[in-house]
Amino acid sequence: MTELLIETHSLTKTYGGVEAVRSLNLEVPEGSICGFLGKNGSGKSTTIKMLLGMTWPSAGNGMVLGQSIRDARASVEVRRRIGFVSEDKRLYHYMTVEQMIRFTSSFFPKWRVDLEQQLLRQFQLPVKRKTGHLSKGMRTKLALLLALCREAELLILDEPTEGLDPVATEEILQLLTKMAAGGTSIFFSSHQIAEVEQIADRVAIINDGSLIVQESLDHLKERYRRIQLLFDRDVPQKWLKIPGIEASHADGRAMSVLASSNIDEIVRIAASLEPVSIEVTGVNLKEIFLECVRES
Amino acid sequence: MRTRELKMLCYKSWLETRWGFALALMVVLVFSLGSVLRFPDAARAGLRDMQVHNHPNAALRGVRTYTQVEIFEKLAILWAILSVMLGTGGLLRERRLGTASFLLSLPTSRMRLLGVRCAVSVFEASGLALAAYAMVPLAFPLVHQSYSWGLALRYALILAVSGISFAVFGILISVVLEGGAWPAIIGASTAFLSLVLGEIVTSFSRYAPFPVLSGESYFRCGVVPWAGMSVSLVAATLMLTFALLIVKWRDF
Repeated sequence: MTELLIETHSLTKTYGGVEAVRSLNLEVPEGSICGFLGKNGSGKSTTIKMLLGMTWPSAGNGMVLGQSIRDARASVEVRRRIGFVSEDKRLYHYMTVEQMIRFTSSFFPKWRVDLEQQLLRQFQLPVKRKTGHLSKGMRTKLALLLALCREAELLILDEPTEGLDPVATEEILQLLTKMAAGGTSIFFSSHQIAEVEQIADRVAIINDGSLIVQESLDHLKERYRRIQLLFDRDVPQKWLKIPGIEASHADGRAMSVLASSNIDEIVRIAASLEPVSIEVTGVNLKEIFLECVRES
Repeated sequence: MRTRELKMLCYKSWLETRWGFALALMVVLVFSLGSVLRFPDAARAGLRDMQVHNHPNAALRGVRTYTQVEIFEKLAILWAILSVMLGTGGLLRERRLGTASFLLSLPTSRMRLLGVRCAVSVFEASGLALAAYAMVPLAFPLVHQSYSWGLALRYALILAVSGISFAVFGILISVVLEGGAWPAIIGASTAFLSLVLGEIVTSFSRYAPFPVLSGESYFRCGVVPWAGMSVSLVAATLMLTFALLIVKWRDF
């Protein structure tokens, strides 16, 4: 059985009566790359902050690397085994890149100097420049370097490619894939669904503080199908109450149905309505995400 | 490993506060030097006043009295305000600047972060006191007078120890109040009020920290204000404990 590196049970965070995260039951297995998706303000960053001991849960509990997130002392040791990139990539503006690396590495006994040198070259980071004078992209690259060189068992990355150009984004995604192949587990949030689809093997979708989807990406994409129907008359509406249909959209004589299960039965019933054509296609993560968020 | 972490945290705290410290150092040094250089003028003015009021001013009563009344007492107020201001900063400020998430993701406890911040602040405040008071015996020969190095050092130590609560007060106020310069302004104003209140309101004078800070009992009868210094240390410990509790349970 695969060990869970992140596991939360009814994790809830309330700010002044508003539930930012509600009864979250999140699971991130060892060795996985888990993409954490959600709209702005859906509770992604609050969840990550609770996992790292920056914010205290209002209710529920969670375990990260086998330690309770409510135990402040254990959280310190857990953080030694975690690489983290925050949503806010600002670093100490009065420190140079070199000072920032020296400062961070002092906390991590397994700091990888070889990777640090490789990334400094790859990212072309100016070591003598103050971080306050770096561009947003450069700051993101430095934040990533500071997280990746920790030789962490688990990487928690909040919008890791924010502010990066497509070339740098691709480099980072490749690097993350390589690290995952080396045994590092990755839990990352992103607004870039294509990035999640490119590297993640597992997806968790959060909306308004609640987890609405959590499963392997392959299984998710296998489960969901789009069924396109074309009629020679107006689209009939009554058959839409079949279990498995997540969403449907009619446009004149054409109809598009997104189904998450019971595909064969839906196609059989659709065929009985005698459409001119029926086409069943796979769907991408973006479509699934948009429908899930809309439906919830 | 822990020593290296501590060293780097101290280094970070120093980098954060060094310009504030340099500015504070300049202010107290200029004040000390300026006050010493004003001594001949003060003595001459004292002679003129003596003819009119028949009452000698501090300068006319000698270097030791002038130093106590015109330099050390005023320096004590200035130092206390600057110490509070130097103590402000820390995690709430980092949250405002967007670096708190990075700092809190490091494997170190909030207690240690606050402890290091406090230690650096107390160290800087002590350095400020020593430098300001050392300027007095250093500068008096410029006006053909002298002041004992030993005395200056003793007064500096009394100030640094009895004023430790002011540095810690700066720490406490910055874990309670958030936002720009407000913690420093409110902290400095509170420190100033606490010092001058005893001079204005007579009933408050026996509890006022000012005579302890300025070493008044040592000046008058050679008695080190052990009780006042102990009270300051206890107050500093209580404020630090309170600050630690607030930081421990705060969300960032």
